[in-house]
Amino acid sequence: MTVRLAVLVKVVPKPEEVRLDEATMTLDRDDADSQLNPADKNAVELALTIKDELVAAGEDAEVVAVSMGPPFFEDFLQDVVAMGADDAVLLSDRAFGGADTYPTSRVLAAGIERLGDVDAVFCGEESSDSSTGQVPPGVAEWLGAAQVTYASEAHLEDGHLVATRTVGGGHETVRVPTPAVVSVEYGVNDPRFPDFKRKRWAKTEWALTVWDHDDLGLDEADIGLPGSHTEVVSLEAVEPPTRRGEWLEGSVEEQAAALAAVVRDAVGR
Amino acid sequence: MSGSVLRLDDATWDRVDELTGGAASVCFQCGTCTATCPWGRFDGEPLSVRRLMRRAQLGLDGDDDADELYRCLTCRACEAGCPRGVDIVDAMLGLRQAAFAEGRAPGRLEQALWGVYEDSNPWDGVTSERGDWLDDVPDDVDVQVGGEADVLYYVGCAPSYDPALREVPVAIVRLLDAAGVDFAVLGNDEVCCGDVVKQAGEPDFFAELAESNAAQFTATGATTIVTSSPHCAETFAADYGLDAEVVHYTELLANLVEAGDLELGTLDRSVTFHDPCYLARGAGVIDAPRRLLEAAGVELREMAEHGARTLCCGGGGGNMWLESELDERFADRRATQAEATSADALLTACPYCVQNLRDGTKKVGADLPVDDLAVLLVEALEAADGGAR
Amino acid sequence: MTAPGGVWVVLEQDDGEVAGVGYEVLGQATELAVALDTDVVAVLAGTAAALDGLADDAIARGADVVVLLEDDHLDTYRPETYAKAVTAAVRDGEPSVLLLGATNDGIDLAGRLAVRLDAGLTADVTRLEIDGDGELVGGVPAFAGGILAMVKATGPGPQMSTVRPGVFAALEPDPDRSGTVERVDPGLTDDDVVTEVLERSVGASVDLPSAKVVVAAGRGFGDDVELAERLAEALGGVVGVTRPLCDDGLVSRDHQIGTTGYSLKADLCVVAGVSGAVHFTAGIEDCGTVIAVNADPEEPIFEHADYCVEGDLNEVLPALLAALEATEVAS
Repeated sequence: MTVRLAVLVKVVPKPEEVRLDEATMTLDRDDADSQLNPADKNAVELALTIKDELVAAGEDAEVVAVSMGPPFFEDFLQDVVAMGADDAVLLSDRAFGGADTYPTSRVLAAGIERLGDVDAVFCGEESSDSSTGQVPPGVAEWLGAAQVTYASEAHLEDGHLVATRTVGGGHETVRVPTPAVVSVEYGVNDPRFPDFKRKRWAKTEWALTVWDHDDLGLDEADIGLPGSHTEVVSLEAVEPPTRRGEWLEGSVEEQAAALAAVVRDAVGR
Repeated sequence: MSGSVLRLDDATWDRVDELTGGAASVCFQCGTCTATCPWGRFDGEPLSVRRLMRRAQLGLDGDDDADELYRCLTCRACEAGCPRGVDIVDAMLGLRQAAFAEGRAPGRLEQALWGVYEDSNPWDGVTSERGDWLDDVPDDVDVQVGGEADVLYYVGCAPSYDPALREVPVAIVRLLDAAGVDFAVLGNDEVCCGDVVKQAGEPDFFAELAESNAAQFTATGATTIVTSSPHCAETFAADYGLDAEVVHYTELLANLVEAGDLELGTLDRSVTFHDPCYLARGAGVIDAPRRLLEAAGVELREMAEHGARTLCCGGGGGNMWLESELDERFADRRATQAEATSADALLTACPYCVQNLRDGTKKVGADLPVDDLAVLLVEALEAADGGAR
Repeated sequence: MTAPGGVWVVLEQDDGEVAGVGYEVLGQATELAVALDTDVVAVLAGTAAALDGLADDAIARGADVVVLLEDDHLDTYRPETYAKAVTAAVRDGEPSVLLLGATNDGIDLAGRLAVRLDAGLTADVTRLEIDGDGELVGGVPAFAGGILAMVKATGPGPQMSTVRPGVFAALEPDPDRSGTVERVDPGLTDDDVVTEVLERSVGASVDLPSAKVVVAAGRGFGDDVELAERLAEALGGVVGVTRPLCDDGLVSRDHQIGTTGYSLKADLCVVAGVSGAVHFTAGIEDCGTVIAVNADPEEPIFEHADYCVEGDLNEVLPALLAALEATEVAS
């Protein structure tokens, strides 16, 4: 029985390229270049590492990427396949648009269910654009699956997933039955660079599977904007504080004396 | 990969053999390379170049060999001593391709490659800020961004994104402008030369990058491409198949000075010069920086191991992305050697050397400013108007 | 049971220690409750031993009602048991607002609860207000804190938010405050336990968001932050670090400053060996006085500092320590 590992992947705008239109106080993402959500690359790497371990131990395993988004995500899913994923599914539908984390997690969970026989679902801890971290536990709840968030490592053994996760002030190691949803902390591993020969194959011979809301058996009222449970009422620009920017000159001793005076004032002694 | 032998299968061996022009096969295992390799002076475990060459003939063994392979600085000290003229660095890079394909390249290097792929640079820089150094160019110097020109000045990633190096492209454009050169830069459209990709051992993305960059360079119509970094120059010259001539800025400027197109004033100070290994041994350019220093009237005090014998600063072969655990690093030794000359300044002509030597002088506590030669030349240029300084 | 429509705050506790953010959220909840003319309810889940005395503390810190979920199956945090327990209380008490601290476990729990309760959930808010329509509005920072998105929950369930630590102020404990305690049976059995916790080592964690003085250390320290620790100690503060130092395993993540770490509200922050990329500086914007020390005067950190020192931190910081000792400021 092939162990099936799913990885939820999001394509996000490069943060430095999203513009805030101060006149209308809206965000303009249109011209922004996109990239794979950085933490999702760590999730892909973890899934591929687990697959490598299983295969080395003589088991069959595969990694399938699942993503909710518009058609242009295909290029990025080819990169995930080039990294080593066996296949990818894009959940794409106009009706998915405008979704907050509630219908997003619902749609992704429906995609996992349609895929079937998934032993573990990996995702980045949060996306660099909305940064909520809410989708992984949301997906777990929709699936009725165990969840492990902020994991730095994981492996599979005897129908269970063992993972180390970060908790405030330390870490813990947990063991949960599969299927399990695992969110992976950003930066915990070195995502392997795509194999460009495989990327060429992905571009020319492999075909992306695309499912819409009908394929997932979802109602339009439950997805996208209509299915969302939050609403942005306004955007405010936050002004950074104006700093003095005063240079303390002189010898190291003179600088230190000036600093000591500043410190005294700041801590009120 | 459980305890496996990193074996070169026939197809890979054929490729390595082809890549190296059969280099590894003419090695007769004399070991001169190992004895010459500078690692032996810094580490209890010297780099056994000979053993790696041998393994290339039989198959590499597990992780240790991969680590050793990536320690190589590609500084070519070994090639200088090899009695058979083996292209040792080519063999190393061929072996790295096998290592990379097996997933054994250092993780930090793979992340640098992601940077080049996603953001056109390996330093976490933002593409829309790559040309920001242009803001520092004085108003009286017009820099053409894009379009066609006789000369293409290729700036490079490190000088574009390291705030401490921005003065270098600013200096170079001022010098080119003063010499009346018809040149252009690529601004935000400039993409990494791919040296780090090649050093990591990844050939396919490198080929795409080279093809795309070469097309961009050709579209400028430039017959000469001049670089800040000897690494970029080497990559373009060796792998891009360009019709244009590729030169490091020291070569171009030395010729301009000699042709009378660039007039430098004289500066009253002493300097020592660290030859970048990619410039001195890689490109064989040793005199050009010295002719420039002479033109600037400075007193050159040669440090130990200069010229063709130069000791790498530690930044070659992808090692800018790798941490070394040495007590004394290559750059620390160079800083000590430079300090011993009692020169007023330590100059060099490569962005990696500048970064490493600045770290080195701080580490050994040497009171010795480190600068790229271009920055001193601009001072000499200014002195040409106002008299000797 | 408390009347429906209350403002509920889940207080995260570990072995009887309540996370600081819990009381901070409780403090802000008192203001929300006044605006809504309703009660502030603190929810505590754990074993009876762990929760002993915590209800009194919660009341002293602003709770009108404390809902106690006591069960041996709540001996350590597990998503499934805590979600079931809190859900039982919520179904019973029908809060209008349900708040949690935006800690790893807080987000872990809130994300699951929001789906189970059909609730809108705003993340990591730095502002919480009731608007003219009597609805909760959360301020969600975006783009390294440059933008605040004001977001409302519109789902059928309670209006939920996870709250960023260190933003709101806890009330000073007032032992004369009174409140009621209600016990709710979480209804847990052995079959409910799915997560086996093999090992949990939380250790002495540093509370960056509440620290009044922070010494922020970056790559300039190399792989040794001992000098930063000495200075922090002399100043009566704590050490925070940039992301790479955590990635390298030098210190644990609770020391991390920045957009993917913690935001500081210190009176004084001494930043040394840090270049000052925007994802770091977003974490120090709310500090009173910022001192920056870096060998390279071109580094962006200096644009975010009140006092700038161009120098080698290995020289400047020891000199500062000596100067402090000389004037007997050091505590």
